Amino acid sequence: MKQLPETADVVIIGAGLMGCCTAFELAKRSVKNIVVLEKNAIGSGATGQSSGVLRGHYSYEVLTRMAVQSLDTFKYAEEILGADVGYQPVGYLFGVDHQNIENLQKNVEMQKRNGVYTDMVSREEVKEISPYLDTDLFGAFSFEPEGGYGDPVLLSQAYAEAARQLGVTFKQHCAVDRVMTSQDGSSIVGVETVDHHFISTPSVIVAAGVGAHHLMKNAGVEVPIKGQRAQLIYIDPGAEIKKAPSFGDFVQDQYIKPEVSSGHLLLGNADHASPHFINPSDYDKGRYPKHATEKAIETAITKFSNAFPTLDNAKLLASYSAAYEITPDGIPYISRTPVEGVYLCTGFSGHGYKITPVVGKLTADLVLEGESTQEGISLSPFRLSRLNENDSLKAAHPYTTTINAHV
Amino acid sequence: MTKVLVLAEAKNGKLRSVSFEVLTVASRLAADGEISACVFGSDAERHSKELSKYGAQTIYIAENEELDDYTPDGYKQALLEVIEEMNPDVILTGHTSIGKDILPRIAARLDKALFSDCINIETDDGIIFTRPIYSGKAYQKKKVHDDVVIATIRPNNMEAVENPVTAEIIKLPVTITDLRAIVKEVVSKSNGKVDLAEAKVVVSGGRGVKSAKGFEPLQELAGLLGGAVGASRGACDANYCDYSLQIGQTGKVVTPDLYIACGISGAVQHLAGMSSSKVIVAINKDPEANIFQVCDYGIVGDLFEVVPLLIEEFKSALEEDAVTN
Amino acid sequence: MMNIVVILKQTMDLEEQVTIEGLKIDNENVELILNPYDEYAVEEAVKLKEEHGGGVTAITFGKPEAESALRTALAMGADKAILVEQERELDESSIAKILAAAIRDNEFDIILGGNMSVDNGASQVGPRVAEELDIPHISTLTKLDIDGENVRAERDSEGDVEIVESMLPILVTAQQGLNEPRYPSLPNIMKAKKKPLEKVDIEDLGLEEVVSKVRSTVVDLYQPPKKKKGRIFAGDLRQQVQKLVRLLHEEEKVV
Repeated sequence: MKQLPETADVVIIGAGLMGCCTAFELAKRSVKNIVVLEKNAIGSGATGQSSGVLRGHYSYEVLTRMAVQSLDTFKYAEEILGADVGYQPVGYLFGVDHQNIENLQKNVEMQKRNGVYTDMVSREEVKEISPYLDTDLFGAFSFEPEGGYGDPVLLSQAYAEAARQLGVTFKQHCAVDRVMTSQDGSSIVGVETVDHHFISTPSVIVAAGVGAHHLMKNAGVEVPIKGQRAQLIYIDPGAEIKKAPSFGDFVQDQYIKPEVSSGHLLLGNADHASPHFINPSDYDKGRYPKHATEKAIETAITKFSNAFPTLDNAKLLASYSAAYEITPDGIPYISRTPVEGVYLCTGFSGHGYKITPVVGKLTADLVLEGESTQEGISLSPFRLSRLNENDSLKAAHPYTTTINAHV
Repeated sequence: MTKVLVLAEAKNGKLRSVSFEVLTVASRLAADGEISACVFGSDAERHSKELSKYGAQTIYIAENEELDDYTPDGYKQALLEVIEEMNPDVILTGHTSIGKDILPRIAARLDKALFSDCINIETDDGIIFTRPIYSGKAYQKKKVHDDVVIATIRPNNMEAVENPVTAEIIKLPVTITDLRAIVKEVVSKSNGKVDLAEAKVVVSGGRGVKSAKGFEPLQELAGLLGGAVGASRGACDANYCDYSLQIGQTGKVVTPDLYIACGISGAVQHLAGMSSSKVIVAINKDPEANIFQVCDYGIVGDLFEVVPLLIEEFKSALEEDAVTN
Repeated sequence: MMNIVVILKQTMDLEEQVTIEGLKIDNENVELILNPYDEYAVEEAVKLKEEHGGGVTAITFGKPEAESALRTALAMGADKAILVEQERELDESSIAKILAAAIRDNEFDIILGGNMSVDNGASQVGPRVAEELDIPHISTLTKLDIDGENVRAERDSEGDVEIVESMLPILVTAQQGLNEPRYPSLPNIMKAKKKPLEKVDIEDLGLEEVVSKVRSTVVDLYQPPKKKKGRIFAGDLRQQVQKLVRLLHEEEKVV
């Protein structure tokens, strides 16, 4: 077993998607002596709970740009990371009701302007893309042929392996107890693991999901983040659905992710009108329900049956409840903090997977340059202080049917 | 004076080692009381010598060919007769296929609690049994409040200690009537091989074994060490071997002295069946495999390279022993 | 026409971490499932109904949330369900008496259950219920054929297969390999919500006194100590193996 070093140039807390990707980007830019500490295993936290949907569809321009600029990493993972990351370009279909047709058109224009390969599609075209869908339920659709889904755990492992090749040290099953600051709390000194190992370092990146809350609280910084229960249902559609796309049903607020290998579908709830929050300390201890409620199952089935009325031989395979990390505005923190040398890369609110590659670059920018070097992407919307300043990101044409911040 | 009764079990003409382990437990519970054993079947008497070697002072024999194969009705009738004859304060047997089948019925008949699958016993302040629950993820200590104590003891968990005594043999003329379920045939899949649940060494294969043929070196290693071959659910699902070999939450629970996991990733489901083994050796190509988190010794490498080397090295170590002894 | 009863239990999914609170396992924040062995029993019951006609009654004992395990059985094809509601945790003796009392009120030809629950792992309730009802039982079943009153079964006995013959009425317990449990279809899940589910309590069964007897108490509950980190060898493969064999042979003395 490799011994932990006494000092590091950068310590990253959390080996999920964001921690692994950031480690890789920093190492690529010749940062030596990077240590990633993970309390469980690589990709075992929120990463492992992600549905893995890939889309460029956002109503926020900056997030659209991040998704666009990230897509190449999924497409060319073998060349960039030396490993397959399970990218399945089955397409992403997005449907809204009659009231939101204009919003959809405006957003699709914005997405096209920013390089998303997408367009509005007619009912007839949708019949080709998703033959079992009852198109009458919807006002309009857009489609992105390069959307689809991928495997978040594979991506985190690919980043970790590529980072290892560049000399990054990963230590799994090694939880951080505290982020240690100078006496006056103004700057970083190092981190201490629960096994009482101290690593002295000038920079710490907290990519610990909800865990960021207690780590930062101990360092004197309040990071608003909590867990939100997400109930997921796995079904066998009972018919052979060739090339089913990932589908955002924003009439009923449900998303559907196909699985090419099995032909099964994952149904996820996108209705966050009455969220079930989990406070950070319970989340850290895994103290939240892991089962889907009867009501959630019933709701998901009803929505699915409404959208796909002819698939009446569909079978329930499994249901479970996961928890995503959520910020108050649904926008992540890629931010410096009041403690010099401590950075946040957390709070991805259930939509971080598709923008991972750019987040890693942005975080590396933040630590090394102090500002973004990514074209057309400012770090400003992701700063922690936005919440106190009441300056959260606004979409130009938000959908009225969903209060979903990340669409 | 505590009177303890042990239901002993024979398989393929030999007493099972779990019966000696249970007799050793019995001697702890009896203190200066009485230890009795009972054994059933037409040639049951031949086992009395061995039973007395482990402390059985009275041995009840029911020589009846209706008891040659285990049936719940047959064993229930015979055991109830022994119980009536001697009035035990404690009734024990192994947590085996037979033990866990018959004692619940006996306990129900006597209207008593049954403590199943016990791995430890304390007697300082009443009788307290320790038993694993949630597939060994937790242990529960349960105190007995019944006047008759009934328990099954997990095989391979407590050492059998010899305690030779002179035994009185009592033959009970048991009449077995109305067998409502009868065994027509036994198809032995283990045919003479070491029983997985009782094996001191288990060599186990996972998906990494890649085929049914891939199990051959594992069998050779198990044979060399006098052990048995097991498998993960993955290997069974992939049809590399029979489900009867499956170790894990939905398979068998084993607690050998040595468990060698070959090409097993170490899913929670599998760990539930083997994590209480005394020494765990993991062989896996993937250094990140979870099995390395629970093993005592690990070799990162291809099992098809490592297992043949193990066979070679164990052979020479065991030969050396033979020479020096 | 066959009257079929399935006795089942809701358990936590053992893929999950176990958290101990005092003398209890935390069942609040875990995924609750139909005990996997009972799932085989439900499947076999529904198959018997499909083959011989009749009806399947699923019975459980437990907290109100155990209803969802019954709903699963109903969605798989059971026709009605009975929940004996009780917040207290009771021992196997009491549970068997409760189930037997609930079954006695129904006509039955065959009772099916799992051979154990993955949480308590005692393997007691099936045979105990058979004893309470004074009917034969066959445990750890891997195959079941019924022809008229005749039962022919294969059971797993520590790896050996016993072929057993018996008669109805009987209780059998399921072992893995008995069948491949079906997944309920979405329409059947919705229909299951409308199938009859009767709630009774122990007082209704006249068992309050019987189950209030304390036969055992849990005095301690703990998790096994975490294992020390194992030793992973490095270097030349043959030398690794030599080191390992020496350690197993001379230090650990397990070979």
